[in-house]
Amino acid sequence: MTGPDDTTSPGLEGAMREVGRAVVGDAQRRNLVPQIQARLAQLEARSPRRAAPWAWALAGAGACAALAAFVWLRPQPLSFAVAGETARGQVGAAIVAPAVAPLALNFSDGSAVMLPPRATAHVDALEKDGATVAVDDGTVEVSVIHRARTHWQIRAGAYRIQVTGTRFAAGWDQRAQALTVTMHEGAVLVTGPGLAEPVRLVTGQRLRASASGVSLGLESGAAPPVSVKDQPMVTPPLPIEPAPALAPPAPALAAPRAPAAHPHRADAAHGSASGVPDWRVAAAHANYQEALAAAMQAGWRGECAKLDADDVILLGDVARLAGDLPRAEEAYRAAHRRFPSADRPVFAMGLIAFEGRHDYRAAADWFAAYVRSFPRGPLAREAAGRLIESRLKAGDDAEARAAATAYLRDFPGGPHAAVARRTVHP
Amino acid sequence: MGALLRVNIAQVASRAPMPELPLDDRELVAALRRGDGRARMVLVERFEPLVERLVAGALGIDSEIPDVVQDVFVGVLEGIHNLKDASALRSWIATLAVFTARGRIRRRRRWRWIRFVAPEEVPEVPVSGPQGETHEAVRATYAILEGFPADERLAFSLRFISEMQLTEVAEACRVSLATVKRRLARAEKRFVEAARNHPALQDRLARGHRWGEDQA
Repeated sequence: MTGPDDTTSPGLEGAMREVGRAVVGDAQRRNLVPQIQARLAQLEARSPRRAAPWAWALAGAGACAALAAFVWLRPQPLSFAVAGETARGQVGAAIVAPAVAPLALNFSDGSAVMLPPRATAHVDALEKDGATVAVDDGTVEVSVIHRARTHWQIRAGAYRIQVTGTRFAAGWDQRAQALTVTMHEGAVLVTGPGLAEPVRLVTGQRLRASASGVSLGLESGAAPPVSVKDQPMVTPPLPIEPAPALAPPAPALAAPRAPAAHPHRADAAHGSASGVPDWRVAAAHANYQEALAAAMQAGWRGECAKLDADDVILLGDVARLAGDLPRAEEAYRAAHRRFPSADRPVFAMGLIAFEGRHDYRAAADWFAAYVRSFPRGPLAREAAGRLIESRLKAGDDAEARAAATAYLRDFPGGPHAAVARRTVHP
Repeated sequence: MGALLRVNIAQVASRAPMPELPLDDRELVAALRRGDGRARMVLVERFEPLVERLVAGALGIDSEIPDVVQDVFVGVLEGIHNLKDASALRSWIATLAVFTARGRIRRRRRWRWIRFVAPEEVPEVPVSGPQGETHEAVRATYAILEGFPADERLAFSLRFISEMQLTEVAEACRVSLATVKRRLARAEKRFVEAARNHPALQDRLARGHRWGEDQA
């Protein structure tokens, strides 16, 4: 505890204390812990070999080259968009889901966080390999795309959930200061009050933690998790932006038979006036299997044919998050056909082709269509980058170089700039 | 949702046995020296608030804070084998934070001559933090401190902004208590004089007003 000095000017301590609160508060909002952990982990990964004296000169030259490469080629942090908004999302800005519908945060690495109605959250930090999302109240559904280096973190109060590639629900009860984590796929590491050590959660497990106690359980009635190998996760819902009419691409997407619907388990509160459960309610609660089953009971094709753009795209999101790629494609195609000014279905189809079907020519067709039709769309940069990747994976080197040249022209500092430079100058 | 089947947390933990986490600083130092990755996590969790408070107090609202804080922890890991008294981990980290921040301040001064614009014309990094009068006071405070010698600036920020005790300031700066008092006396005199030119600071210092009071 500090006490005033005899010589201290009147008011100085109080004034500077307030300055201290302001600057420390600003630093805390940056949520530095994940960045520090990531950097220290990188340091640890390096082998601590002692270099021979002659190696120092070589290392110096290498360092200069690395510095130059870093300056010119360093990847950019992720960006994100709030569904329904055209502008990029802002770090630190409060995000509140509407009272009657879920709200998706879509990140440029393909990951997404879905807020159920009335939930609040904000993005704490954006890095090149991930992001930190703070859940302020409610249970959010998290879907993180696994990459070689992923530094994703969900924060809820004093709890932190470290994520690689996975799907899970993270709930924060603001009043009780309690965390609930329900794993759908993959694994996470949870730290925070009441946990004497980091707790690793895997598929099917559920953790409830507060300062007063912890319980770890298993979901006995949970549907078997979708294998990541069998059904690679694809990018979650994407924002909508009005745009010029689209010349429809014609990718040949294979459409294997849809798996049987999950048995309906919606409770009465989820029912609509007709007695048919409202799939939107289940979707809002992040129960995607239930939502899919309810939508199918309501008549999948009919829903795709009559609902408005947002709802049809949400149907696609529900099917995708439930692991039913054919139905996701059906919904996105319907949305694209009926609402050609919507950009989301085009991008989503590209991602399904790329990450779900591994049909890179089809993916390239969709991403090229996006770039052509929505050159100023919120996902134009990401689509242009994915187009390069798709062309490269498809073995279309000449077209990949053309895509890379266009990317460097339009997005010289974008996250795919390094790939683009290597493609243009192999 | 399906019913939650309660299981013993130890049963689950036994699938992937992990060593006990170090509880005190001595055990933490020992674990860090062994290269225990989880000890590294504990280190950051335990000391990040301290480092953040000291660095932010020294630099203000500054886009380089993340880099400086990271540099401190890198320094901790690199120097942990040379720490003689493991029980002094906290004060050692505070010293590292102070010296790292001081190095950043001095480096900026060396490169100041290549600035293309005057400091007051530098666009601000957008922040969602302090607003209005508080924001002005923060800006004025660090504009004044910018002209201080680095050692005086650090003594002032550690004592008044990061709210360390005099003995802690002396320990973190690796100087005697008498030296800290001399630096603080000079810094305070300079600051109060300079604050007369900043309306956001002037009245409050003159009246002995505590900022928190008018927010209640």
